[in-house]
Amino acid sequence: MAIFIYGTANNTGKDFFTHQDRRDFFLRGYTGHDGSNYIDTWVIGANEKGALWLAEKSGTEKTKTEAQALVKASDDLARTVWDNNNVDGESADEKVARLGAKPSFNTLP
Amino acid sequence: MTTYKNIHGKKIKFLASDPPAAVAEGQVWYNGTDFKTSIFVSAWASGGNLGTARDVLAAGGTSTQTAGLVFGGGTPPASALTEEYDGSSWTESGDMSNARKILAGLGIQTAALACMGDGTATTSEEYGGTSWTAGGTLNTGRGRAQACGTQTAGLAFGGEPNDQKAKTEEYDGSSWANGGDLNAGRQLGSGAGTQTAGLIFAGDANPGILNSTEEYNGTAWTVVNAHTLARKEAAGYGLQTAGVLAAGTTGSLVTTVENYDGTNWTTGTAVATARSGVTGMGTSVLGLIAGGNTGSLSNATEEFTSAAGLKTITDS
Repeated sequence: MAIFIYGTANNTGKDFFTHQDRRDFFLRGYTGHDGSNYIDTWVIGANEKGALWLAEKSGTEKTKTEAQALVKASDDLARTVWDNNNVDGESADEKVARLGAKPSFNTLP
Repeated sequence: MTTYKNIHGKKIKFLASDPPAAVAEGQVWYNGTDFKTSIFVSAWASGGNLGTARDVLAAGGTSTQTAGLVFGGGTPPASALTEEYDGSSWTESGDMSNARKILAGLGIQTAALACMGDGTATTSEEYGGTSWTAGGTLNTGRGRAQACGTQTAGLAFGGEPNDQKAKTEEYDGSSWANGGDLNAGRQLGSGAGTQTAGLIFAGDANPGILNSTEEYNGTAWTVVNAHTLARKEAAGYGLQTAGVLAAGTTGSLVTTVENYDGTNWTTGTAVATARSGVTGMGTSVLGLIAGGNTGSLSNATEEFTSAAGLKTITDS
């Protein structure tokens, strides 16, 4: 049996997930991108309450590969923004000091 | 047939009505209908989304889960926006006079202070619950610093440029005076506590992400036990004896939370969404984090609650 369910659902704010939800199932959020828009991507504990939560949030279940692709697309965008943010004459170390390290890739569990 | 006494060597209490959860933690009783117990549970839930997604913002660090305050940040241009939280939703309030990001903040929803910011600003501004007015000028211009305390007894420490990253300044409500230097200067760290009982943890020694912790006694900083996961751009809030370190980046975004009890750090309940450049406020039992960067700018809020709750004991 799979340990996690993967899906997308828009974080609408207050009570999108509750304290009880967090006690009932594993939940971790990531930012994905579907080619047009950023999309909230979730890794959810694979139990009845986790599956019900995704359904109640009008979420869309994804395979792990699909969810990872969404997150990678977002990571790629962040890395491209970092690559393209340059100041004339700035060294690599100075760029890291100004912007922080280049964003890394997120790997879904 | 065995009995509870046979198994555990003592009888279970009969209580006609359930006691308050907070005073019954760990006890088991029968109320005539159910077997009950009280256990402490801690969890993060989603809060209302910020009106404007942003990172490297600041908070009134001692503002609360039901009266929160954030200001400034990167959208990515520096922002002057202020938002107040009522426990459910954020409402925009008066803008700061100066747009700032990577700034430091302290105070409560009705008496906060914003200071410094990107570009090594020396200025500060005071918030009275509606609008901002000019505060005292710092002695050393810095960005990426931390702050804690109150509008009339504030503390600002760390930051950039690198030769100023150990500096501490104390605010009395009108002017800034130099305090004791940090032992390990840092930028993008996290702070908690008060002017006479301050706490700094995490951050970037530039170079080198830190897990070292220092306590301030109103005069000098002392190195104390380090937390487990070195990181920067994390949320920090609480007291010197009840500090909270949440999320941040190790190079990779993390959901990890650690709690400080005045002596040791222990791992707490993880936030749902990993992020850096996030801010936090409240206490170790009722906390709030907001904003940050999850790969894109975030408007997400998470509320932490740790409380005892009554549970019915069942066989499933």
